[in-house]
Amino acid sequence: MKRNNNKTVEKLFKSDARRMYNICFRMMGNKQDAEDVLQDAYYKAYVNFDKLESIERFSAWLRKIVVNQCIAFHRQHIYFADIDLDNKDLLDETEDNWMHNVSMKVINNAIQKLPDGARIIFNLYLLENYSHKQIADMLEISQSTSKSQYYRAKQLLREQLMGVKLNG
Amino acid sequence: MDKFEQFFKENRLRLDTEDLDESLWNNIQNSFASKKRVNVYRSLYLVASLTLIIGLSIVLFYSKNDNISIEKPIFSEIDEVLSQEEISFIHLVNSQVEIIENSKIQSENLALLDGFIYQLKTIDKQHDLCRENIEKQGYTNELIQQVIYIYQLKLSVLGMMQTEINKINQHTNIQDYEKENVRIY
Repeated sequence: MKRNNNKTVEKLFKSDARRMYNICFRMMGNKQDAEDVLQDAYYKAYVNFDKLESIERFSAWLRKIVVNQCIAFHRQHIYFADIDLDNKDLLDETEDNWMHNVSMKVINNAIQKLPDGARIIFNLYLLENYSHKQIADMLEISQSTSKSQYYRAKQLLREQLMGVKLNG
Repeated sequence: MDKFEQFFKENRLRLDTEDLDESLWNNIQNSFASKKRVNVYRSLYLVASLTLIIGLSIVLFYSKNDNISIEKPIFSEIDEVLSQEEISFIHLVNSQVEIIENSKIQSENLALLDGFIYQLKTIDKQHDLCRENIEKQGYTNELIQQVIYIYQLKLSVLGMMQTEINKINQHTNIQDYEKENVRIY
């Protein structure tokens, strides 16, 4: 795509900014890092705007750049440990009705509190629709590590949110 | 997919609870603006660099040729025959230099002539050295022969330089011709 009209392009970027910021916020776990990563990702996307093939793919293209920027940040700072999967079904799934009574803000806060590795993989797999194979390739970890971190995230979230409901 | 996963899939968009600060968007916009400035500066830089390179090439070419066009007679004080011989050498050298000066050559090919320019500068240094020695020691047969040899050498190098320029230009013309006559099938 040619950057013929900078104002139009900026509007296009702004239209997705809130959604991209929320991706960064969930992936990074704090406001400061989310802002830094979003700025870097947006600059990278703006510089490479000419490489975008069609405007219809803009959101998907931008989301990929944002996610990659989050991953690039984490790859330097986080070690993804493989976790024992034996206890993955520790909590009964039948108790998963709690979530309908909990606000999204509370769920988001619970996601923020997940350990870094679990949080990133939870976001990538469940919210950004990457497969464990893709996640393993992106983070340079094994698929089993990706799966175990995901189950750990699920388990921790259930514990946290059930506790919220029970206490609330 | 269990209930837990289904819930997150269905409510994916509702999870976007955080609002974007206006100051953050301003920072992003500023970074876009800096990119635009970089592009403008890059264009200006390219134009300035090209202008500088072309200008320098022209200046260098003529300054190099100035070095080889200066010929001052040495033998005029000692012998009329020698003096006439020297003057005819000087005419030959200067006319050869004039031909070279009038030859057009693309600036990017100028470097191909560096070897000749270097040889001519070395010859000029020897010429100056002979002049100094004559001033100090007076005329000797050896020095006179050296000076004559220097003129012959200079003419020879200038001749080779002219041949090289012709070759370069011929090659460039062939390339230009080929570019202009590309067949479109």
